[in-house]
Amino acid sequence: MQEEIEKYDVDLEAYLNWLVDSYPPAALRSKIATAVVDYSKALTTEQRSFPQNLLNAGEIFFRLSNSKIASGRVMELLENMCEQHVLYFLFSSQGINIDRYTEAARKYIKKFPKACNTLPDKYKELVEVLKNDSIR
Amino acid sequence: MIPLDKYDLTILHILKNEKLIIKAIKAAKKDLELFSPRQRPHLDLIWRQLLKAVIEAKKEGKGFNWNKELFVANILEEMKTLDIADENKARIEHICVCYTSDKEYDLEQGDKLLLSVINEAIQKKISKAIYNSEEFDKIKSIVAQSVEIHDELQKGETQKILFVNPLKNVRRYLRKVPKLPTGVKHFDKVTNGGMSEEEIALIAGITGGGKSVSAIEIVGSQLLLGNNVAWFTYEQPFDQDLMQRMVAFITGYSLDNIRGTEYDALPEDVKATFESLSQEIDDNLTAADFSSGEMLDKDDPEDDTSCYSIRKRLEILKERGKIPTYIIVDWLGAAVKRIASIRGVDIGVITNYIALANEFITDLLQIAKDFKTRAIFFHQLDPVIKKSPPSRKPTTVELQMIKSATNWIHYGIAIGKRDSNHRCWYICDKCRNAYPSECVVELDGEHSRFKLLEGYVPGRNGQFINVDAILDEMNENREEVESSYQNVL
Repeated sequence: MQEEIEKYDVDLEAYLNWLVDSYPPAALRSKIATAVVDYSKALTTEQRSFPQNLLNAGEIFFRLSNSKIASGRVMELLENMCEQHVLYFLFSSQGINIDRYTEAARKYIKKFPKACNTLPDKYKELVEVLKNDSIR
Repeated sequence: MIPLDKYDLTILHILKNEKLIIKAIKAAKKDLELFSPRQRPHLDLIWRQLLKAVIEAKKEGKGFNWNKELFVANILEEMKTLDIADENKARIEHICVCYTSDKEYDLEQGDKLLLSVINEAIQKKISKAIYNSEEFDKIKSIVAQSVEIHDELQKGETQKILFVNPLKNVRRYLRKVPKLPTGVKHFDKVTNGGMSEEEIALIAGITGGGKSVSAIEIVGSQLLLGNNVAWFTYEQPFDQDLMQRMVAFITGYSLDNIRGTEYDALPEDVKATFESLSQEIDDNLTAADFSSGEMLDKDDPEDDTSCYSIRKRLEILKERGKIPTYIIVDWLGAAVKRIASIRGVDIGVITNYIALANEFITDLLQIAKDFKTRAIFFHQLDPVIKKSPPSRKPTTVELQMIKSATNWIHYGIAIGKRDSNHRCWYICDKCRNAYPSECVVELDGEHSRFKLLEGYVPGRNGQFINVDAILDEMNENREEVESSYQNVL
């Protein structure tokens, strides 16, 4: 497994976090040494799609808030349409902290710590905040 | 460096995008009579040079390609002759640097997110950035000339259709085509952000598996986001059941409370929510009900072609300027039956069924290309999936009778069998340019939608379980056990 980890240049802890969320307990033992390549593909996909998802969330929030939908329902619809970890980054990057999204963001960063690598520094700082909070 | 404001970014975005140039020229022509004076002569200068560049490039047969450095040099040259404030001169230079260097825009907050909001501004009348000066007549005639050239260019392209030279058009083919999210979280997750123009997707599920729920989700979400959507149903009519579910989805009110209740008897707040939203979204929805099996036009000989009814409606929408962003077709099997009954084909013979189905899919793909839109259609999975445990991952290759369907589609999604808690797999096993992805969803029948579940995997008894929740529960129990030991000791 160590060879695979080095070959695909993945973080061991992040890989294990992703593994636990992706396979049933009974299958984990057999998958642990062989799913590294799947994780690295999943990581690449996340790195590519996370900025797109962030833009989408911004667009969706913009559209919903400019419509006739009541503000309470806007947030409900936003949460139906966008993933919580994306919403965390969307709002926290503007200085708005919404606690209920933090846990989802923390779990996401544990699995995909490099997802924000292509984004501006503001987002990378949020990743550091989440990592530090999870260490405490 | 002076940060660029949204008007500067608008013109920069237009310069970098051929399609937007065409849109901008057309928009300007309509708005020439309407825009009000604005103190932005620096944008007026760039706008004039842009139009001149379009005309010159056409004369040299270059379409929308010109020498960027020369274009910028002309702008800077003219700038010297005009009385423009130093601050605006700095803006012009900054725009020119961003245009020629392909660097990231130097936004006020260094935030890409702002750009998505700026895109909205581009949709609005960009000619408001033009300064209504004494050179108005000159601008007007340049714009008019540009529009004629644009129309000529468009006609020119359609006449030369015998051969294509893809290497010559590499720039157009390699442009970044943005994805449009559906607003349905799990669909956007497994497709990595939604679909691009000219793409089609298949969603397959077992009977009663959630295909109509998916259709309602996508249609409802697109409407709530203010997009045009076209919905074609071939089996389930727009009757009480479908409309009840749509009201539940849009208002968030429980379906159990809507069923069996007349519209007038619904709570006032629910009716008010629905009515205020439906005023806004009614124009954006085009729906056609082919479930009764009647032909569009009994005397029309073309009506036996597979997607004729869909294409004809889209042509009408195109004339009205309301091309839908998404076309929803529910579902393929019922559409095939309709076409077979019009043509008198026996679809009991499996080869006939497969041929008609493949014809329908290729026609739908052509419609998506012709109208620059996205299409999602539904179909059934093999009955064997229904007998399998919920933990069995379905694939779109297991389509009832037409495994070849996945040849033409860009995204193939399969909805698995639900467990007793209404949780199931949602798998995109064919995903263009991306690693296939999957997730677990839970049917929320009350609101006619699926909910995305994070961290769920199939457990031993076929139920989907949340491993974190089990670990947390174990930890809580351990704490209780430890504290009770403490008390004993």
